[in-house]
Amino acid sequence: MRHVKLGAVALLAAFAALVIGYLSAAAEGGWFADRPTIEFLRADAEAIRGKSIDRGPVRLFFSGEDGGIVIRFPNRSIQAEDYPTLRLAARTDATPLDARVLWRRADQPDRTYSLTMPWVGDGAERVTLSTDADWRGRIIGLAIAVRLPPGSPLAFASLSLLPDTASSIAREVLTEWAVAESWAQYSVNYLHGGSPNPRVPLPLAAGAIAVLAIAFYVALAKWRRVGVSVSVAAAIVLAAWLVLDLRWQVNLLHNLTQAAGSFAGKSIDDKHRAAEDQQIYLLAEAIRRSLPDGVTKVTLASDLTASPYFLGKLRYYLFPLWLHPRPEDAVSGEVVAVFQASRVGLQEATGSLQLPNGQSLAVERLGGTPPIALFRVR
Amino acid sequence: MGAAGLVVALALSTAAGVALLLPLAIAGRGLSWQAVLGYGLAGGLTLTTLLMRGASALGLGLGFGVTAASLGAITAAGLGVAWWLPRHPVNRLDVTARPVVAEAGLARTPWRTVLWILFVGLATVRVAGIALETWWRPLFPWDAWDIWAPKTKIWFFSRDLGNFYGHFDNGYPPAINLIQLWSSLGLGTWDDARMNMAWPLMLGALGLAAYGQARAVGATPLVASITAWAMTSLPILNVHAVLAGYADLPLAVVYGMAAMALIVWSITGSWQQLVLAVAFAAMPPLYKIPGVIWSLTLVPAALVALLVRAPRRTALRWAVGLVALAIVAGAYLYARHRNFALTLYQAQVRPHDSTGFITDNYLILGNYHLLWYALLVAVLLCARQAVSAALRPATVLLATGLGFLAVSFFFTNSAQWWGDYGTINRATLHFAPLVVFYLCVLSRASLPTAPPSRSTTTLEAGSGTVTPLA
Repeated sequence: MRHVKLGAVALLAAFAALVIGYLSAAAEGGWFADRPTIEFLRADAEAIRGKSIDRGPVRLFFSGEDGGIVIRFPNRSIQAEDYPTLRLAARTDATPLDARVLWRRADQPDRTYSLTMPWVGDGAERVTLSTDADWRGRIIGLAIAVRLPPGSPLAFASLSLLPDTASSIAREVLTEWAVAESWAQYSVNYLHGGSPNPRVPLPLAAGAIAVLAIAFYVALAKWRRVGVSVSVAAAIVLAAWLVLDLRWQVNLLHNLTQAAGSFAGKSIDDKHRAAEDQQIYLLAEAIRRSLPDGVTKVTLASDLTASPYFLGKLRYYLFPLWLHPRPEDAVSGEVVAVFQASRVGLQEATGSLQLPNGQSLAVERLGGTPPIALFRVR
Repeated sequence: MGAAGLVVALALSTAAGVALLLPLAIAGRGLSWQAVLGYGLAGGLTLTTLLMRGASALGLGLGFGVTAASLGAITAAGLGVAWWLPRHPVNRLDVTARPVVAEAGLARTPWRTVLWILFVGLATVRVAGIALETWWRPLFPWDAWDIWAPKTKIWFFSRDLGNFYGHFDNGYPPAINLIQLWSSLGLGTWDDARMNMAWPLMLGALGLAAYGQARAVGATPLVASITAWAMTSLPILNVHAVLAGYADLPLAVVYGMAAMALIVWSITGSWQQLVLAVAFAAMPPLYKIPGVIWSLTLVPAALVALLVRAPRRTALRWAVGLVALAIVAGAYLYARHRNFALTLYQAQVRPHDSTGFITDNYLILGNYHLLWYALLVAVLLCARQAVSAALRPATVLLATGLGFLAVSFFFTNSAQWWGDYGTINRATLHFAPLVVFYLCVLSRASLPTAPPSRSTTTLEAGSGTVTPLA
C-alpha cells in the first residue's frame, strides 16, 4: 500500500510539475488574462493574388503563373503583443517554395513586414510571431503569402491569432487532443493522434509525465528507504497508456460511425457508389456498361490519366477488363474511351480522333453515355 | 454463398489450424486454449494459402470445394491424432516439459477481477469495432488497390494463379492475395470489403495468443489480459486491421507469434513451444519479402537459448565460434560489396541522419502509444533481469530486431521513401508485438519472487515451471 501511495504522489507531482513548467514557458499572454482568440474563417479570406473558389468547408486558392498566392484578411485593430502566436489551418499539394506572414502597423502604415513560416505541411501551421522584433504595436493589416508551383492549390480553412494565456493554451491543447482523426491515405503510414502539428503532442505529454513520475517514484522510494517496485512503475506507464488508448478508442468509434453512415447495410456496389472515390467507380461502371460484348481491353484518352490515383483506381475497378492509358498505342479493332480529354478531338468528316501527340486514329463511333464517348479503331 | 460462405471458409481454416495444434496442446498441456485458438487461426489461414497453391500446382484448380475438402481432411486428421494421443504411450514425451500455468495466481481479488474485465473488455471492443468497420468499408488504402488486390481480383475472375495480365507479376509473395481469394470464394462474389475480414481476425488472434503465452510464462490472468490489451491497442496495428489489404499486419502477427513461442520455449523449455516457434518462423517469408530477414532475427536468440542450456565450456566454445563466424561473414560482405542490395533496399556504409524521423514516429506521433517509452523505462529499471539467463534469449531477440531496424533505417536507402513515414512504421509494425510481449516477461521477471511453494519456483531458463505474477 505504501508503494501505491508513493506512486500516486509521484504521478500527481509529475503531472503538476510538467503542466506548471510548460505553462510558465508558454503562457506569454499571462496566467490569468482572458483575451479571445481572433479567428479568420474562409469567408474572411480574400485573394489579392491568385484565384479562389469555395469547396466544402475550405476556400481553394490557386497560384497564378508566377506561383504566387496572397490572401488578405479584413482590417482589424490588433495589439501585437497580445497575440504572440499564429495558427494557419491550410493544406497544399506541393510544399511551398516560400510562405510568409505579412502585416502592417499603425505607426508605419505604408510599410509591409514579413515573417517566414516554417511549413510543416500536415494541415496545421504554427508561427511564433512574438520572436519577431517588428511584431509590436497596433496591427492594421494582415495577410499570408505563399509561393507554389504555377496553378497549384492551397486549401484554406482558417487563420487564428492566439493570445497564449494560460487558459487559452489549456483550451487549445485539450481541443487539439480531442480532434478525431478521420481515415486518409496517410493513415496506414502514420497517425497524428489528434490534431496535426499540435502545440503539445499527446503521446509526448503522456510519455513525459510517465517517465517523470517514475523518476519521482524511484527518488521517493529511495528517500523512504523502501525498495523500488517494478509493479508501480508498470502501473504508472499503464495509466498513461490507458489515457492514450481511451482517446484512440473514441477516435475509432468516431470513424466507425462515419463508416456506418456511409456503408452499413449496403451492397458492395452501393458502398462504392457512396465512397470517397465514387466518381471514379461510376466512371468505371459507365465504361463497362457501354462496351460491346467480348471486349477485354479498353484504351482511355483522358487528361486525368496523368494522375496515378485516378488511373490506378479506374484500372482496379475495371478488372478483369484491362485498361490501357495511352491511345497512341491503340491498334485496329481496339476500343478507345474518351473522357475529359481536352487535347483529343474528333473529326467527324474523316472519322478520326486527333491525339495530343499529333497522331490521328481512324475510328468508328460505338456510342457511350456522356461524358464518355466510345470508339473502335478501324 | 454470401456471408455464410465467408464464415464457413474462415471457420474451416481456423478449424484446420486448431486441429493441427490440438495434439501439441494435449501432449504437454503447454498451450492454453487461448494460444491454441490464436495460433490456430493465424496458422490455419497461412496453411489455407499453401493448400491453394498446392491445388493450383497440381492442376486441381482454385474452386472452393478442393480447398475446403483439404482443410476438412486436415481437421479430421488433427482431431484423430488428438483423440489417439492420450490413449498411447507417445504421450509420455512431455515428461520434462510441462509449464505450470500459475495456479497460485488465480486467486482473484475483486479489484483484479474488475481490472481483468476492463482490459479484456477494451480488447474485445477494439477488435469487434475494427471487424465491423472492415465488414462495411470497401478497399481503401493505396497499395491495397494498387499493388495487392488487383492480383486477387484477376485470380478470382480467371481462377488461374499464373495469370498476371502481364503487369502484376511483381514477385511479391501471394499469401495475402490467397487469403482474400479464399474469402471471396466463400462469399461467391467479388466483395472488396468483406474479403478482408481475415485482417481483424488476425489482430484478435494475436491478442488471444498473447494472453495464452503470457499465462504460459506464469503471468496472472490480470497481467495476461493487460498484455493482450496492450498488443491489440497499438494504433498502427489497428489501422492496418481496419484499413485492411496490406501484408504488414499478417506478417506482424505470424512473426510476433513465432517470437512469443521462442521466448516461452527459452523460459519454460516446453518442446511444444519450440515446435510452434519453428512452424511460425517459417511463415513471415510467405507474406512479404522482408519476412525472410525477420525470420532470421529469431536465429541468434534460439542459439543463445541453446547456449544457456549447454555446459559452460561448451557454451563458451559455441559463443566464440559464432562471434568469429559473424565477424568473418561481416568482413567478407564488407570487403566484397561495400554497398550491396537486397530487394529494393541498398545497404551503405555511411549512415543517414534518421534520428528525427525515428523520434517523430516512435515518441511524438500517435503510432505506438507509449510502447517505446515503456521499453526505455523497462530496460533502465530491469537491466539486470534483462540479461539474466532466463531472459537472455528474449533480450537477444529484442536486440536483433532493433539492430535490423537500426541498420535498415540508418544504413540503407530506405530513407528515400520516408517522406510519408510509410517505410519506417510498416517495418516497425512487424516488430511491435514482440516488444509488447518482451515488456510482459521482463516486468514479470523483475518482481520479487514469491516464497517457494509446491506450485511455484523462481523463473529459470528451461525450468519448466514458472512463478505467478502477483
